[in-house]
Amino acid sequence: MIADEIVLSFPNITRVTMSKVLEYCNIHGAGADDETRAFDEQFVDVDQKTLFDLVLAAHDLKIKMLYDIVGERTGDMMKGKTPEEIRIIFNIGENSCVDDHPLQKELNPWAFE
Amino acid sequence: MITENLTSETSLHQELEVLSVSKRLVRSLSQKLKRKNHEDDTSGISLRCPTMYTLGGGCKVGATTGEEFCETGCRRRSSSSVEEGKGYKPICVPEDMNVDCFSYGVKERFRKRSIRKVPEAEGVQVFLPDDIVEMCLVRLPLTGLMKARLVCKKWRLLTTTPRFMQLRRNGLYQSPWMFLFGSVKDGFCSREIHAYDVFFNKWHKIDSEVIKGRFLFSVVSIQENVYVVGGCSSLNNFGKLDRSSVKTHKGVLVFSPLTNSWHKVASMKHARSKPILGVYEVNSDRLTIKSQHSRQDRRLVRTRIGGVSDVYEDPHRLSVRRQLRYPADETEVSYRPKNHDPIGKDSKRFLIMAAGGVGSWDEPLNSCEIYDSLCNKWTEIQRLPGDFGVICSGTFCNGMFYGYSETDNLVAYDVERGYWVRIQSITLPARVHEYYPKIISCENRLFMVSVSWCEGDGQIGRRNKAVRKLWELDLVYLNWEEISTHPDAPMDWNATFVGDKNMIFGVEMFKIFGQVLDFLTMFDVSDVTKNWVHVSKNRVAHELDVSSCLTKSVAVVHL
Repeated sequence: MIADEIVLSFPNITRVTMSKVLEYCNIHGAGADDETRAFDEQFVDVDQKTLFDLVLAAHDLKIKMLYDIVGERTGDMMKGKTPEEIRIIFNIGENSCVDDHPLQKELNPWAFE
Repeated sequence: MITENLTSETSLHQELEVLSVSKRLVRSLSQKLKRKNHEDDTSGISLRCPTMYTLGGGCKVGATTGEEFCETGCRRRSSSSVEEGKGYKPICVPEDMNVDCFSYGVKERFRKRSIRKVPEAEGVQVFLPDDIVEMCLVRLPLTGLMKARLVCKKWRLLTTTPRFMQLRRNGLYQSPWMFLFGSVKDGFCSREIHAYDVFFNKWHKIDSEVIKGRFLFSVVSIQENVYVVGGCSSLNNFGKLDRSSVKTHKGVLVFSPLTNSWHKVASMKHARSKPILGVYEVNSDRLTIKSQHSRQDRRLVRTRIGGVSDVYEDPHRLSVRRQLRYPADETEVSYRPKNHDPIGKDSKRFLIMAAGGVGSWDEPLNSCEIYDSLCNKWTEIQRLPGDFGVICSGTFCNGMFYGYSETDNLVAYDVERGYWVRIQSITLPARVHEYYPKIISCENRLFMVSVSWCEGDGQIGRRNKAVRKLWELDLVYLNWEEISTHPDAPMDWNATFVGDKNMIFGVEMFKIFGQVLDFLTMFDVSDVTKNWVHVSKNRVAHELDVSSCLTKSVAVVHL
């Protein structure tokens, strides 16, 4: 049977995430303006889980603009948090990625003041 | 049309296929990475794991066959996705199937038994690939970046590569930081460097053993480093600000705030304290520094201000050995690009001018030398003109180093041609004697901050008051134009002004009513409608000695 539609499959991306990505693309299709900026702000104001899904989707689909804004938001999430809190958010195991660099704490003591 | 296949039954088959294919591969891997088991017992199987990222990048997932049990080992976090059913469904696999999910050494084991409540809903089963993590971290301001480095080893390694730092620079994610050196506390030259984060309006203190005891040095910033040039240290009372008996330094130390580390570069030819510094970023590889050694100028009349007798001059000046060391003729110093680049391959070539300063016998110097980063060498250049006077301020602007003297003369050194030219500018209004003007360069424009008397409201009998004004020199017509008046009364005769991109930073420190106060102001030269802005008041100096006003020096770095 000759297929008259092209089917793309993205096993890494859920339906929900994909629909959000499509929504983003549709809004931005016309170009950036104030409305899109407002949309963006609201768009990234989601819970962490969804945000990470979007980051991964944008990465896989190589949508630069989306990648930028969700990446920025992810970076924002780290602001004001201690390394311990960051570890929790990003699910980095305490035992796993332990840094054995001897001068760790001494290296940048002034960042904490 | 895009087919979303995760929630359908076919997806399950596909996943199982994937699982079985990589089964063998993963078994060996999971055996290698067997970890100590955690006590907590958790939770469902994330649908993401089996299919994700098996082809490189991100987390590698594998599944063991039914025969192998994973002992208990489950992390305390569960997949909230399973609970909420947000597009995920647990795989209907035999109960004893274990999915090992590991990312860069982290091994996750899930068992389908129990689903555990997520503490505070913070644990998220997402493993971000390196390049995504990097992309998020590159945007962080410096303080956030420092914290990120402490999160785990991988993050530290990711964020300390030269490539990462270059990305930060290119993406303009850096913001200006102002470093205040030379603070004196309880008579001791403090080891503390005060760093001001302009963006967050926050002061930080950096402890640096290296410059303890050194004072009256000059600083200049180059890319992300601060160069500490010259200075003195007390011979008798180490660490103290004691000017009775000092050693004057030739050495140049480089401070890297990002790593809080120091290293040395080539020392100057002459020991200087408070040399006038300027930095020039060179684009051409062909530029050579025209050297001229002191011996040649000995015949010329020297400028001697301060009445230092010849008897007490450097006795080594006339030594034969010294004469032989420096050739008589003017030589061109050409560079040989070295294999070892002490700065890094991304860095550009820059020159540092060190002009004047105070020498080892407390004599004002008129010798000058230039440092070339490409060959890590100082070259002595033509001395300041005889009638110039003592240089009190200077800066590079448009490839020329402008120097201003205590006697209000202006000269410029043409680096390419290798000589000083006198600049006859249309004079400024009389300045207050004790306040030496400071010249600053911003965006290839030349500015001067000068304190002058101002008519007091025109009323008879009203005393003139002193004001600090900002002037700009028209480099074509050579006339000074008044740009702005500084809002603060000029209490600090050693106020420091530094230009950075389009901003001028001013730091004033003085003692009044028994207290040492500090004021930090900024001026945007690209916007004529704006005025000086007070960004910080009295946050640093209250614990410092008043001598800090004299010894302070400031550099602005983009981090």
